[in-house]
Amino acid sequence: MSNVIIETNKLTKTFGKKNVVDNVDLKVRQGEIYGFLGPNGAGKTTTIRMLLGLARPTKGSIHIFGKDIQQEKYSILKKVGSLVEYPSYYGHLNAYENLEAVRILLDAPKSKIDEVLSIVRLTKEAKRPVRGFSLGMKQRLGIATALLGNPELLILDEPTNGLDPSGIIEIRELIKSMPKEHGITIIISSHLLSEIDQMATQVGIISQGQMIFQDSLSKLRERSKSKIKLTVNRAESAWKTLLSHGYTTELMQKNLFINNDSDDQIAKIIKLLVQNDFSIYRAEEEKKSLEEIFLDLIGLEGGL
Amino acid sequence: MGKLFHSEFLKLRKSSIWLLIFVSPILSLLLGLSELNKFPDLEREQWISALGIMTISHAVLFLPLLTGVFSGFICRYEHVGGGWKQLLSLPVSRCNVYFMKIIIVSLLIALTQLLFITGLFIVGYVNGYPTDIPWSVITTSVLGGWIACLPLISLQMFVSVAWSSFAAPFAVNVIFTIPNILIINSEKFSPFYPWLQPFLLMTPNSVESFGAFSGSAAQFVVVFGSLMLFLGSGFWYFSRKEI
Repeated sequence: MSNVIIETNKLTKTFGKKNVVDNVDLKVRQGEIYGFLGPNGAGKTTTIRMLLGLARPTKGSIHIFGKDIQQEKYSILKKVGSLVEYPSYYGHLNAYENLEAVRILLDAPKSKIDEVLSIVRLTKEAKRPVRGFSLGMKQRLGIATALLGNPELLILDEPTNGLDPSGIIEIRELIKSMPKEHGITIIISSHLLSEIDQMATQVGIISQGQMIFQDSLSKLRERSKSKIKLTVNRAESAWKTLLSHGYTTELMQKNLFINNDSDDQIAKIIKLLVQNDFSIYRAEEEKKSLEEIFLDLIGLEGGL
Repeated sequence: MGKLFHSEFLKLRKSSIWLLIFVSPILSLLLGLSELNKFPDLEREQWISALGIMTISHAVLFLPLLTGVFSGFICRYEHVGGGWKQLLSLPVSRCNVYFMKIIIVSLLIALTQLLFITGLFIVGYVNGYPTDIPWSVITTSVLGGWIACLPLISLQMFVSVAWSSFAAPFAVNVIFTIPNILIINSEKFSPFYPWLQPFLLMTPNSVESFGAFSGSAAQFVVVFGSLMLFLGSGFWYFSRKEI
């Protein structure tokens, strides 16, 4: 097992009587791109604020780099770059000065500013007041700020918000390249599965404050394998017949579901049913997209 | 702390609020040069009387108001662009951040005070006052005014950090400062009203009170007591605030 970078234990945050974050056990390992997914208001940003020490957990603990955030906040934050919710900036400073104000506090070398500016392609705009930046440019400046301190862990909350399609692709490629090139671990939140799908290796899905799925993206994809649905006249006895011949199928609402593993097996099952005088009304493929699985998981009332 | 100062200074320098340090000293300079500052019978205490006249315009209203304006602005650029969450997710201590903001405002007030005496010297030069400048009276006046501003800065920093709007802390400041005009006439209440202390401590008594602060013991209890109260509660609030 590789190093665990972030580990939360029963992390809970209560506002009033509502548990906005409810017993969340988050686990992020080194080198992962962890997609933190959930509909708006699910508790993503609150969780991230607690990870950064901006808000205090009501209950539970947070360990980052194996250290407790309550006790060793500064040594943790030194190695963390972050972008929370919407980009932070000082409107009256230009992009370069904005980075300088943070660089001083991080004790990073001056050359780092030009480096991060060129990474997010803001070198040409560096001397313009940030007040006049578009949201996408502010977002890129925010990402540049997060990279200033050579972080080992990047916490990015909805980083592609407000970016145009080419900007999204640029940032996505940048994010994907970082674990490989620098061994950085990234946790990235989003309410769009498609976005996480294209970057993340691990996913955590949070809904109404609770973590409802946490595993690799491929595990999530497995759930999206298609099944063959058979509608027959006497479903239950058909299911028993198949079982007695060694075929396990699922019986749901008078329909039989067969894993779509091989065409040969499907053919054999149908042949067997026909030979046993079952009437097959329909044989159709049922496929779930990742999006549907996600919606199933969070429950439709969550909405997107 | 040094790094924080450096960073705060950069943010402040590029905003134009520090220009406000010139406003009150210039007004009191004009007052000092005007006809209001002509007392033929006070020949021997020209410096002191000029200082007294200029203090009226400077310390009754402007100085307390400036503490609020500077505190408000220094927090405003953090509130507006989401600076707090960026700043506090860096490896800096909240206490130091808060303390540094107060130091910066205190320095701005100190610069205002320095400009104010510069104004006094200009008045003295133009009117040809005697060369034996009463240094200790001037120093205690300016320093006393500055110290009396510290509790006000602490309170204004507290409300400016707490409220993201600029108007609300400023309203608090005005509400407490305007009564100065009335309380100034009450011998009974004036030593106990923190917003009036910058004026009381800046007003020179006479040459005889050489160097000694003009304030009474009660005034010092008021100034340092309110400083402790406002500073402590502000620190307590900010270290707990959820960003």
